[in-house]
Amino acid sequence: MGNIFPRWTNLLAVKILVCLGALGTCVVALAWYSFTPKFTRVGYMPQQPIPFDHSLHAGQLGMDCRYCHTHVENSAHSNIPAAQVCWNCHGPGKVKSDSPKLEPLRQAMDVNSDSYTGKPIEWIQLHKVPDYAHFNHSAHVNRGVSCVECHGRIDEMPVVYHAKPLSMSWCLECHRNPEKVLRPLDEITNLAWSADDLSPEAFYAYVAGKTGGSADDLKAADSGKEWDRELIGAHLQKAWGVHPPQDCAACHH
Amino acid sequence: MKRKWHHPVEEERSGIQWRSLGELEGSEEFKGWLEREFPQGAQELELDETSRRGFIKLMGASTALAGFGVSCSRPLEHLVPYNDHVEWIIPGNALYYSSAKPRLGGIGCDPLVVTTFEGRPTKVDGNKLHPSVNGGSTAFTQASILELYDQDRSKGYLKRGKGTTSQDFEESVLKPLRESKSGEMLGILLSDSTSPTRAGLLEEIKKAYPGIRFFSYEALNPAGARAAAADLYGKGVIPVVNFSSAAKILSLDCDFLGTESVGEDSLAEFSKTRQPDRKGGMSRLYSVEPSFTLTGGQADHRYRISPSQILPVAALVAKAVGEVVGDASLVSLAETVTSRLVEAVYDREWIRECAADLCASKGSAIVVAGGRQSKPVHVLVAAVNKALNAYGGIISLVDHKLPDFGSISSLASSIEKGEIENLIVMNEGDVAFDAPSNLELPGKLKKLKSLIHVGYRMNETGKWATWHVPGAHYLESWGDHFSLSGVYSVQQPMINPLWGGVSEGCFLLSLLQEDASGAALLERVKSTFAALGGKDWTGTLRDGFARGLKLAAGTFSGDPSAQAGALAKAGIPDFPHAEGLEVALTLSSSVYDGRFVNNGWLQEAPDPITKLTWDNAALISFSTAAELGLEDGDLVELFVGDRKVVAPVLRSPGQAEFTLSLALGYYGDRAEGTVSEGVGFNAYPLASTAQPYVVTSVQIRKLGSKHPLALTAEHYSMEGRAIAREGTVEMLKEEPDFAQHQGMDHHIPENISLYKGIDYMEGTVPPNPVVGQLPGHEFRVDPNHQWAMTVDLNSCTGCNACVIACQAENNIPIVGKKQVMIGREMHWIRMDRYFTSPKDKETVSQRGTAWDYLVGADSTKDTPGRRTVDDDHIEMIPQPVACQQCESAPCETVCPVNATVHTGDGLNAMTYNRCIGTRYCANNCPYKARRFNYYDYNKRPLDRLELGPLAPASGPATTTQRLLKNPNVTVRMRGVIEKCTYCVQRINSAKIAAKVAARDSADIQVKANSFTVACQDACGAEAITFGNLKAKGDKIIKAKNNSRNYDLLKYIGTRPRTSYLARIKNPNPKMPGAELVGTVTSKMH
Repeated sequence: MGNIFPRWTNLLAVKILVCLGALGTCVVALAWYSFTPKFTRVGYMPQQPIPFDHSLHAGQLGMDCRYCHTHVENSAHSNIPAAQVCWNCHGPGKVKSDSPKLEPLRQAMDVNSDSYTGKPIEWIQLHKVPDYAHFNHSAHVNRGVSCVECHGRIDEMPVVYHAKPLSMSWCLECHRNPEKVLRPLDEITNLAWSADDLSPEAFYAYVAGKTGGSADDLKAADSGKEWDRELIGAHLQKAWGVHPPQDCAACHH
Repeated sequence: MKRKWHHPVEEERSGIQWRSLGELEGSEEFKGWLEREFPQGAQELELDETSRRGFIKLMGASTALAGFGVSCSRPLEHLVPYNDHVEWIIPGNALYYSSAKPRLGGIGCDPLVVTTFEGRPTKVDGNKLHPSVNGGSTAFTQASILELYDQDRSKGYLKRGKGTTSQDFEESVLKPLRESKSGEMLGILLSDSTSPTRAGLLEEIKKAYPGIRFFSYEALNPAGARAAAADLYGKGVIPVVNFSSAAKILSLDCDFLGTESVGEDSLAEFSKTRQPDRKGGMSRLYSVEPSFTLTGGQADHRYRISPSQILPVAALVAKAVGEVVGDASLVSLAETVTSRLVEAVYDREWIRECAADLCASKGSAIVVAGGRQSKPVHVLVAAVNKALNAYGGIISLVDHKLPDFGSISSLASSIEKGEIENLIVMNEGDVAFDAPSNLELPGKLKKLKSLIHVGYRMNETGKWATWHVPGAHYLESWGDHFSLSGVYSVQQPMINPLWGGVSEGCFLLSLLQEDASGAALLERVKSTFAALGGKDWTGTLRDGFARGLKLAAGTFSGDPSAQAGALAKAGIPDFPHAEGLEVALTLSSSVYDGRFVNNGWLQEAPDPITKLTWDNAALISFSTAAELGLEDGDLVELFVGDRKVVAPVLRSPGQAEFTLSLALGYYGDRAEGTVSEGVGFNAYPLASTAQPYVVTSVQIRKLGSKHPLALTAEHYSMEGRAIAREGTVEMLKEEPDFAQHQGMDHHIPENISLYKGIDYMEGTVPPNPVVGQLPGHEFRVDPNHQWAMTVDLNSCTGCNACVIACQAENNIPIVGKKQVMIGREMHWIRMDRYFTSPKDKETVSQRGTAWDYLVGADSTKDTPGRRTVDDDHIEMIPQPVACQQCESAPCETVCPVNATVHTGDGLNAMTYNRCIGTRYCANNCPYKARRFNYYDYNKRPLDRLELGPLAPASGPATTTQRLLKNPNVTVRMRGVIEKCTYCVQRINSAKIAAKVAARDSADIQVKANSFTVACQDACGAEAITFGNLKAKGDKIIKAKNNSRNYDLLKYIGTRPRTSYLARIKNPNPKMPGAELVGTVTSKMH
């Protein structure tokens, strides 16, 4: 009686194992990669045509985000300011008007400059959700979600970088637990805001005014709980009726 | 839902309802459509020139190439803000402007609201503020935005076909002309218009160029009506009909609900009179016409007769009316015609009862005649209307002071005589193509010393021109118009001319002065406005019309009897017969007179009656086709003398015997556009000055070959179920909710399932006993919003405005004729059209054809049971069907990747980026509402789709058409299912707007009736109601509580959110065949 299995089968099991192993490694590597910040562009920091320093303007000078990003409360897009906005302060005879860093601005705006082209400044897009995801800024900033939740501490960035993943699972985290990110509406553009900046007395009075209860009762019910973002957010969520949509069609249409 | 289901035993039907002849006759082809969800070509790849193996090779190569060509990093994208921010623009938000579009035919205008995104107009809709219209629009209006971005439009000046510049034209033509100050031998061919600014410019030109002559021509102008109006009411006066107060209407070959303009907004006015709960009862519509039109489809009683016989019918009606109301002068006027008739060949009972019914509502009854009918018909109709007291109430006379221009015949003879040597052609249409063939205009144009063509695209006239000047779209130019009833309306441009086009106003201005810019024209418009006594220009611009600035309306005091002499001379053609057929040249629902021939949306929108796309065909009745031995698609030659056309025939129900209806405007082989190339058959050669629309004594010759027709009637069949339902006023009175018990719904057994499903109105979600849920992932019902829709079949005419509005709003591509033929059209709204007729053997007509009677043939009486259908009692019901948004949707349960899921506010959502294209959902959809992207229709040229990614990127993605896209809707790619989502982008915008407004309050419900969806916006008849079931006072709640409300296929338990209101007919019990009207679906299973 001869061998049932021909000779070439001797190594077959090993070959199969090696192939499976390679395949498994590839799958793990791909999955691994897609969970890394590299995949979600966290840390991406492109060089802009004008090295605009947010830490100077928004941080040290304390300019409000909405001075430049004027339509953030009214539109899906938070607009990049028109060159005219920069020109308001950096026009001829004003702040640092001769700085070589502002050359693209002069090309766009300064009709008396030799290098004037009238062409608008082409800023590099940094934060981007895919075209099939329709994000709306106004829906967030008008309902207690601060700029900082998605963009990070822009007021501390000399060069703006991609601070958060902006992936779908990351979006859904907040949509499922909005109490972690809600804050009073007048603190939306205060990127440094923390729970300690809010006086509990004033807050409970505010919430009571919204919900029609008594501030003391609310405070009593919270006794023993830690005064933090989550506690504030939970009250705001209830008072404002915040139910972030989790349906696909909320963003994909 | 689990049910014990006992299918009722099918009794013999006493009525039938069908969408196509194939369905009626049970053809093999129809069965093929029925049995395969995705018909031929879906399972196997059908490639024209490449075999399957070749395809695999190509695919392999492209996959390999894809690996090299694509790098891993994301593309660098730029954000480019304005230098100086533009007033009012907020990037990402739509801006709405009012404007106006000159109405097709030139008289009056359609007031519009235009949606723009960062300066790009993307959609047009009716202006709801305008006092004389309801805010709906037509398919033509909706599709006119595509014309703006047409990649084939004229892009520069041409001198004898070679490119040149505007400076060259200015230097060599305009400047010498202005300096010569002589209009000798110079003619201008224009369209009609009610623009006061244009009228002023023409007057100035007349003064500056003594001797200049003006002509006007448009192929489809209602010449007979205009001539009768000039004689009866005075020159430049137009009768305007307002149907709001009409109780009885007789239409003589007039499609006032479709393409003919007899009033400001006839569809809206008429549909309001069709509400069963209207004070004073529903109106009643009688229609006399050769082939079905939208108007005939709405009629309670329809009399089919060839168009040449409308004059005798009008005379018989006039006589009967005169006798009833005791108007001797009307009787004697009518007798100038009736005395020459063999009255017995007309349906005298029909005419007598109709006339009696009109007279019974004296003061609120009206007769309207079609634009293609001759002057004598319009004179008779005016006399009848006078006897019925229609003037002053329903009809008002508006003095538009239309100038008196020369006709196309006088232009031809002037060129012939050498009186015109230089001609400027700037009318809409294409005069070398659409002028009556006996004038032989192309040959005459050649004789001209110079021909200047101002045109939107290079057409036949442009080819003869010495100079071609690119025209501008109406959204690119300033202008003003008096609407039909005389309201001053402003035409506001939305964008600078994309290709440097010159508008009509600017061109006329350039004959007067050097500065003929848009700004100079604006100054003219403003000064006209001031001269007319207008105040508050800014407010007028905002609203689109001037409050209080209106032409005076008068009433009719003349005497139509004065026309008796002309009537006595009017010829009465013979009844058509096999040796002398009649051809009715009709206005195409797709290309109008030919100007929309390169418009893909209109070409692909199925004709409301025939469901034919990408073609025209000679419509023919069943029995005439049988007698002549013709089948659908047979190519025939129709000829009178040496005038001849070739066209395919198509059998059409309800068509008059021996009468063929053929749509004008298709270029056939002469077309050169990307879309228009080779589409349709040119019918203009049959038209002559003597017989512009109705050609008699036509001979027919079968050519022996066939032409493939892309008909959509059999696609997505509902298998003969009673889904389009109708009843009569009587039935409604007896049983208000009769529609809920028609068809299978009569037999719905009790629901015995223990699982009760989600209750969206109560907000309760039963726990799922089998599958657990992660905390935080529970399904949440939106307590504030539950969306729903109703479609009122009583108002819906099937006009396609919603279909095209949906296409514009949702970035729906066209797929081309080949793809339509294999059932791959992408329209989210499928405009079904059903014909119903009582079963033949009981009711066959007792009359033979009129010709048989006249020649005394044996077949004067028909043999019962001979015909397939009884053409005399056919009715038409249109039914738009889109996704029904089922609460327990069969599509959702079968999707393997959860790409289609339910949302908390009751939508059946579609996540395109998740879809992998298994098409299980479309297989499982009982309403056949889902569409699949077999190819990259948005990105590849339609004639090279099969090459897939190897085809060059072109079409809407790369040409100017991409500017048209709605930025709020994802453009779908190959391999993805798509469907109606109730315009979820508009819903989301409304919800976000409510939240933004709420700020720190909990009041986040969208206000009731505060926004609309695209189809609802477009519907002039207000047939579509959409809204929030949870909002107090929302219109949808009232609509859903209407007793006529019913669900489609209710017994299968899908709980659809869209429902329909049954159609109600209002038959006159005394009419012949009245007992058959509106009863067919009540007897179906």
